[in-house]
Amino acid sequence: MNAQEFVWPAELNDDGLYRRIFRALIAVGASADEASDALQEAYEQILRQKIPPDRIDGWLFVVAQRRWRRQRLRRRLFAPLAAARAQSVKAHEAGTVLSEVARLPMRQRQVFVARHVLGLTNDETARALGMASGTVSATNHHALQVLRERLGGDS
Amino acid sequence: MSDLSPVDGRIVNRLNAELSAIPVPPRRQTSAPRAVRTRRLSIAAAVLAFVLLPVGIVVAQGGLANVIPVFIRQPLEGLRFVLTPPTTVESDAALQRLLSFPLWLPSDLPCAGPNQRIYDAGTRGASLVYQCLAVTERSSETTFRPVVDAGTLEEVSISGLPGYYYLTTVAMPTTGERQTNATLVFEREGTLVTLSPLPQHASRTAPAMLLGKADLIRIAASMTRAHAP
Repeated sequence: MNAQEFVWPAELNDDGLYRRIFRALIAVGASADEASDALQEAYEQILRQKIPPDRIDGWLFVVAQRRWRRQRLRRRLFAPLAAARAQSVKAHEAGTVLSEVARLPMRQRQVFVARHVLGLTNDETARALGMASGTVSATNHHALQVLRERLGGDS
Repeated sequence: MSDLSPVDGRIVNRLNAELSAIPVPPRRQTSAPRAVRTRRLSIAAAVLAFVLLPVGIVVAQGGLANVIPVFIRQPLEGLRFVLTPPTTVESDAALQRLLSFPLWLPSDLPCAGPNQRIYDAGTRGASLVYQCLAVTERSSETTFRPVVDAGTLEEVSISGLPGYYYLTTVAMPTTGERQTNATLVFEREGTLVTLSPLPQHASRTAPAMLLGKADLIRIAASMTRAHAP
């Protein structure tokens, strides 16, 4: 497809896509406000792209996540003490799958969420996150294993 | 998703159900013209900054020298420091055992060490002191507020991850001598890592031997996790 003739697909205006990526960001650890801000910036950035990504959802997820982590680091560096204390309160209730996913290492969280919340395949996840397909598979396996062990009794 | 076992499938379904229960705020309208407007605003801000820069330089040259002693003469009230003696630890594994977050170790260092491994119970953080570098680590989930100058903060990329590099100038209260310290701070898997070059290995006549920004970024990119105990 010629980049100059490219017209952004209607998918980009789909609220379902927005909701799916918003929830994926929540699952990797962002708060609702952080997810909303980061996603907004990712949407603005995708409109400036000349060449369309092969998976819009994967691209938006990765870019929004990068934005969120950058914002979070910056906010923590400059936050007043009281605000920093408030932020350190855990966002999810204990015992939920969300709280257990939040305890996974960041790489496992990203892969798990891309595979099971966004619904990307192994290869699509690998391309979006810049990893080898085998690594994605192994990371996803480890994440599921940890979650099985932690939630085994009540899943 | 069809390759999931029934147990895994239930976990994924529960996760999606919990996520569905979280209200999604309405999407803000995004359009290409808005992006263009943002770019125009950035250009206008850059032009304004260019005009104001000479004023800033004049203030920095003449004004800061008057401002700094005011802070030194008037110590902040209401702050109380509780000193907890830090513990010196013998090995990386022993240090990792004391911490609730992953410990990162530089593997590409231009100098020897670590000369010291320190666990600070007060901040629940760790410090590793090499001949040319001090590495301070703590959980990024805990409360912290490093003293930084927002004006010199510079965004950098470490293997695709965000980090910040900044310079802080400190005036010695007794001598009035000024020292500029460089700092690189970044977050990795729940750990906040701060790298600060140490001047001990360099003579005063050769400040170029101190670790620079590029060195710090290279060292940060080389950091690997300590072996789990």
